[in-house]
Amino acid sequence: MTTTERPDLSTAGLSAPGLAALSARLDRGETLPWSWYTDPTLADLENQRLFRRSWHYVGRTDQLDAPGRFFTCEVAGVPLVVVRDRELRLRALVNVCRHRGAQVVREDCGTRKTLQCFYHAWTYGLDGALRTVPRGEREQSLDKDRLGLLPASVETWGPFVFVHLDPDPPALAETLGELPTLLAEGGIDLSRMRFHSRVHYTVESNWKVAVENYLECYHCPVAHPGFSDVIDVSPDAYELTVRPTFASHRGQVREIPRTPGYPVQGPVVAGQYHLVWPSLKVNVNPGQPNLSFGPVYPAGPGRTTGYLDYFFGEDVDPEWIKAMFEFDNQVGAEDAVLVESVQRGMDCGAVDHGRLLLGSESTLQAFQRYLLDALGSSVDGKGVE
Amino acid sequence: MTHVITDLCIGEKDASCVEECPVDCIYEGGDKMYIHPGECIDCGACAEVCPTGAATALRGLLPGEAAEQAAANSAFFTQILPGRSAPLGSPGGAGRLGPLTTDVPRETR
Repeated sequence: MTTTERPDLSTAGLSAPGLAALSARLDRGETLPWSWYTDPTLADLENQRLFRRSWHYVGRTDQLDAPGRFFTCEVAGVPLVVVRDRELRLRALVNVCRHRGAQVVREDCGTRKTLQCFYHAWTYGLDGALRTVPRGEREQSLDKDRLGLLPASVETWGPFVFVHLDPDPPALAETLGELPTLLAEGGIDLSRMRFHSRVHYTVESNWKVAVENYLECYHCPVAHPGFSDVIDVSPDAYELTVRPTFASHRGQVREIPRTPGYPVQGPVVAGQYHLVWPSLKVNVNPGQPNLSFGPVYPAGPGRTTGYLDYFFGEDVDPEWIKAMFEFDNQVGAEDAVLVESVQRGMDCGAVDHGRLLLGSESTLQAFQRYLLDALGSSVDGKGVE
Repeated sequence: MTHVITDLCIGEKDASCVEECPVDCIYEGGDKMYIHPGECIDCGACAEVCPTGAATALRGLLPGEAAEQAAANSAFFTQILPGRSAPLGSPGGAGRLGPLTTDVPRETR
């Protein structure tokens, strides 16, 4: 049990004085309260202030390459359908029937000619407009023009489809910032990348624990021997960069790899790993052109789900892909053990916060600063009283 | 009865409407499709997807044409069609009945 002074480190600390105290603590290298990683009541606030105010990667443009092609997804608890309409425009629509609330589209993906609800057959066009209501002619005041599926927003970057729950959000480019340039300079030509597979995973930790583990490589020499055999993870060689909307690592291949690992020679000379707030991972390993891309999401206070969509250059040898997956899977398995251990430590309640090593965990501190600012802001941008 | 398949379907039978109909009330005749007037729930999905405009709400037609098309669709189920011994009645689903090779003779509409 710690014996330090215990100011208000509960979620009630979101009062203005509490925010100021937490901010000062972050500056000193102390972490956010660990109760924020265990408290089930925080999920609503995170949904409202982080996930519902962010762009989310949800799928690929090749899944939407013809009129009527669609996929469904869920963002911050809101079911969405993303569809190419008859005029070839991409639409993101709230997948909730305006009649009684059923999900209009229940399949994961496919091709539709209409968006017809399976409950009472209210029929929406691919643009979300309500076209017909069975028995609607018998109603006096049914205004179909006001009962279309609610719009969300959709934008694309290369093969990636992003959605935002706000129908009038800031441009996706503001969120991406320098990321497209960093990938291009790192040897990734998105126009020549081909989708390989989607890998789902679940870990028994709060989603923020998973993100924070991703954000630092201080643990790499200790916990990721395979990764550290390939990438130079020493503090002078491994670069961490905090940017306005994301944080980045860049790791050079060791001049003399300690073990063969996987074949790291190729046009991609460095690994780059980015976390776009709040929870999008973008990974490039050294070697042949490769990219994995995907979100983590809370699935309860102590559980995180996520997926990674893997892309490879069109000419990359399947044997190389297999070797890189082995490398990647090893790191993922090691990380699962780490974050689940951290969660147990937080859950026990014996220790109320941690202490960062700012020279090697500046990206983690930046994420916590982002969390504090976003969770502490109300709609008008002022602190919560 | 609220939706019908007009004669624009003759020779087309694209049948996109059949996939969309949530109650399977669009029946296949020899030359065209027919909507069962008692089984149709008026959802409009057929009209939304029909490439020829043959599937349509009756209210979208001129009065005379509406009456004619309503009668033609209805007759498919109430008349004894050529080659059959009894009216189709209400089969409760086109999938159950399967496609037919007969139609309502024009002179009996």
